Amino acid sequence: MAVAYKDFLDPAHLTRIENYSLMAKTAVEGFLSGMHRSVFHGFGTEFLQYRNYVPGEDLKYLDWKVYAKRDELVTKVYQEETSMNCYFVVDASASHHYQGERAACTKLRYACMIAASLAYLATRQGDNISLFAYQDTIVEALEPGHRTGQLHRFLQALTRLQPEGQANHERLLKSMTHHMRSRGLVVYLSDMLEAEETLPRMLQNLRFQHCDVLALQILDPDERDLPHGYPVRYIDSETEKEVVASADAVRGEYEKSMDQFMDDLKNGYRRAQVDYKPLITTDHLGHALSQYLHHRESLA
Amino acid sequence: MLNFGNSLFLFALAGLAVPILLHLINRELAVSLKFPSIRFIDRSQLPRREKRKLRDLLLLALRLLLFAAIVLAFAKPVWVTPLTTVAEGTTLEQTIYLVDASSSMARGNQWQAAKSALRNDLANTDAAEVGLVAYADRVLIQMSPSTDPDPIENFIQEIQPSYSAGNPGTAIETAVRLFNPEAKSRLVIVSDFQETDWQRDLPGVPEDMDLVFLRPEESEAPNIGIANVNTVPVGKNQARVLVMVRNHSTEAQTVPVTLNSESDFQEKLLNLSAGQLGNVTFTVDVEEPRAMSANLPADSYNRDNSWHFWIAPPPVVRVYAFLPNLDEPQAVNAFYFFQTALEVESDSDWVRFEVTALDRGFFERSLLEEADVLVIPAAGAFLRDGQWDDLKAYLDQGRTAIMLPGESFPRQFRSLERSGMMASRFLGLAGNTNERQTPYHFGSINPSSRLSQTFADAASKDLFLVNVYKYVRLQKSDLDTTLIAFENGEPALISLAVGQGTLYASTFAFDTSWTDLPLRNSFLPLVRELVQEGFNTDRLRRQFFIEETQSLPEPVVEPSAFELDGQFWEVNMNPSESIAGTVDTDRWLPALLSQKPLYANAVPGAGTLPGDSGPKTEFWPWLLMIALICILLESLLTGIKDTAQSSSLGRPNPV
Repeated sequence: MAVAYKDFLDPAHLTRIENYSLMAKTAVEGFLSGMHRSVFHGFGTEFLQYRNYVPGEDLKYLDWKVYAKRDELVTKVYQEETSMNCYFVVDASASHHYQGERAACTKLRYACMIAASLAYLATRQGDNISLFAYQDTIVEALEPGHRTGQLHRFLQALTRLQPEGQANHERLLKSMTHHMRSRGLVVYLSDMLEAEETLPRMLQNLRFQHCDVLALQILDPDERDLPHGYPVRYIDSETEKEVVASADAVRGEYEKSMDQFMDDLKNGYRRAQVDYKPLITTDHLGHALSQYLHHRESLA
Repeated sequence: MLNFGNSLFLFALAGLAVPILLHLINRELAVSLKFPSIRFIDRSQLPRREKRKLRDLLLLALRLLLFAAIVLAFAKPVWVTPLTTVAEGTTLEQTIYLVDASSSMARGNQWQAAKSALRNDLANTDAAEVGLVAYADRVLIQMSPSTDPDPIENFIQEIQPSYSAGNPGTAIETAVRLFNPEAKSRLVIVSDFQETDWQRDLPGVPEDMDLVFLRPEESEAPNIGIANVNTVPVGKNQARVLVMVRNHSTEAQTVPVTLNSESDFQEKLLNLSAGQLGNVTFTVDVEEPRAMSANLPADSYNRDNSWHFWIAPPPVVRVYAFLPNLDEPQAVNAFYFFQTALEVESDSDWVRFEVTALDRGFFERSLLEEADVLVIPAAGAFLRDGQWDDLKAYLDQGRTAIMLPGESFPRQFRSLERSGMMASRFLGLAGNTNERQTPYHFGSINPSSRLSQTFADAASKDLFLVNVYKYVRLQKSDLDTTLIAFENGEPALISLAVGQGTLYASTFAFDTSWTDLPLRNSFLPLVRELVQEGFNTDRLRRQFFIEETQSLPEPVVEPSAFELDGQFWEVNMNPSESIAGTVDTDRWLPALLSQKPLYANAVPGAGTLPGDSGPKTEFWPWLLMIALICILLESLLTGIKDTAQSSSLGRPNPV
């Protein structure tokens, strides 16, 4: 049976690929092959000059307007844009270890798959990629680069991540601000739990440093609707606090609170001029990739 | 009142906690689950699903009921009429006198003293109703409590102690039954409390029953009693009489022991120290049977001063041997060995055998009538058809015959088969004397035969060393009994039931060419026991204690020696009644009677005789039925529960 390109972006499919490199290639190539080629053609380069057409060249680079005016076949010559730094920030706190029955992978695994796919795409476009992974402190840090082996190091760092401890967003973002020397794109991957007030504010600071920020919130489907049909002793992954509850009894209130939390986040990011995209671990990676590409295009 | 046959099982009711624990363990508990954030999850009550809860409770109740029903069924609950639930303010008081009328009460003036004590108590009792139970080896008289004391007074005047030993157990049961369960009961036991009577297995009485023990004054006068008399033959015309006398007093005594009969009187003095058992022997002529008695002079207890017995000539067992052909050496040899073995006289053996040879012409029904035992040594083949019928008729009357094979053994055993007397099948001969070979040996003796008692342990060694060189092989039938078998399991001596009688058939001849048995020590006892196996010599003489004759059609009430239906009866008083020891009525006996549980059939107010079943209801069948119903309902509910669970949302693996 032929595999549709969408299948390449299905977490349930991708999570079976242990190797992040292969996984990212599979996802990105699959994603791109499904796009209309002209839509994103040419980004990442700047027009430099005209030169005469040499037979055999791709006709798509012919400037038809010049031909109409001057009856000459000339070809546009583009200069590759100065490489852009793309910072990937991954929250690897313990809350990302959760995997509900409906999800194909943990939240951290999903975040890593997104990071790997975007990094692959960025590398393919000649951007520098950088990685910051943190829990209560920074656990992985990779300086921006685009040379051979950078992607490999990036993916290796992702592989080493284990969800543990509490997330200390403030410390990470302060530390990160010192490392950022040039404008770029920050892709922030986190569940953003209990940080709807602090995170938009902190990410806004990155905006002040001429960075575009894409905040991707990773949630498990269970976190949205609390589906458990039996009494559960809920243990907080990060604080170890416990509460015994019947999901049926508290579901209504929980969903309300969760919606409110999402709204607060959304409004906060909007005020901070930070693009925000909530993702469920069952969502196709295409959502994240297209969001990224839109940002990248706007930056170009 | 609820009684339990196996009350220890009630401890198992503690196991009722097990289903409760299981129920608690198996109930739905909260599953631990690590969740990213519990910020928005409020604490809530665990779910209460009413249908589920009701079903669980029902299951728990069923399991508890099932367990309790099984435990209670094993505890054997019995509902009996409440024992002594005397209502508050009741005025009905009952007294029952339990009077010991055993032989020991005749000692000295004990009986008069017992009656006086009874009269005194009767005169002074506050009880509205009085009753009486008199007993010896059994309940002699029982009077239910009534307001009229006259029958008791009449009883006191008339009754005398019996010659039987006492058995107070059944009497206590009877007395307890006679009480009205609603009345305040008082049991007055009038007895000498002789230890041989009261140290038997006794029933208990209700705890709130008043027990009063009236023991008459004991006589201090010395008592010497005859414990037993044995007779053994001395030669053909004399017998030795051994009289055993016990001194029950606390001082040494010299006592004349006399032997009396209509025609004989002998006396000997016997010195006995305190508590000693001594023997004195007499020799008497035995010409014809005569009843005798051994006697002692009068003392404080006269009932044990006489012992009645028979002196009779040894019973003669007439053994007829059929010898049709004196030229048959095997037959003559077998007859000789047989005759020698039977006519040996023994000092200890009371039986005498008289062996007579019958010629061919004398084998006829009229002559056979006179024989107690018929022996056919190596002559079975010479019996004509009519004589086989005579033999069968002879055996039908309950007589005994012993048949030994000879040279014409095939014809003998085939005739036995044809006549229907032997169910086993003749197979042929085992062994051959012409060739020297390993002899056959006996392997086992039928344990239910008289022979097994004679040849027990060491005595059997010689028998099992007997060599048998050849024997007639029989295919054993279940209808025939093997008395002795060879090591290979084939019969050596079989017993054939013919009508009322028995035919013993040996598969080997009593001849040295067949076996060395006649030359061995085992031969004599084997032959004598074999003859007595069929002819029970014990039936000539019967010895009983008084109480043992109560089950006979005509019970004997006093010690005596008499002849009945050709049998010599010797009935004497049980010597245990002479023993002066008594039980402690201050502490031991009350405690014993009060502590022991009531016999199941000893129910007050039941008014039934000993042996009758009391008003009791067994619950265990009902309990088992309840358990069965519980099992069915439990299975049903469990099935519903499983179905409901399987349809619900599955759980994730707990953390």
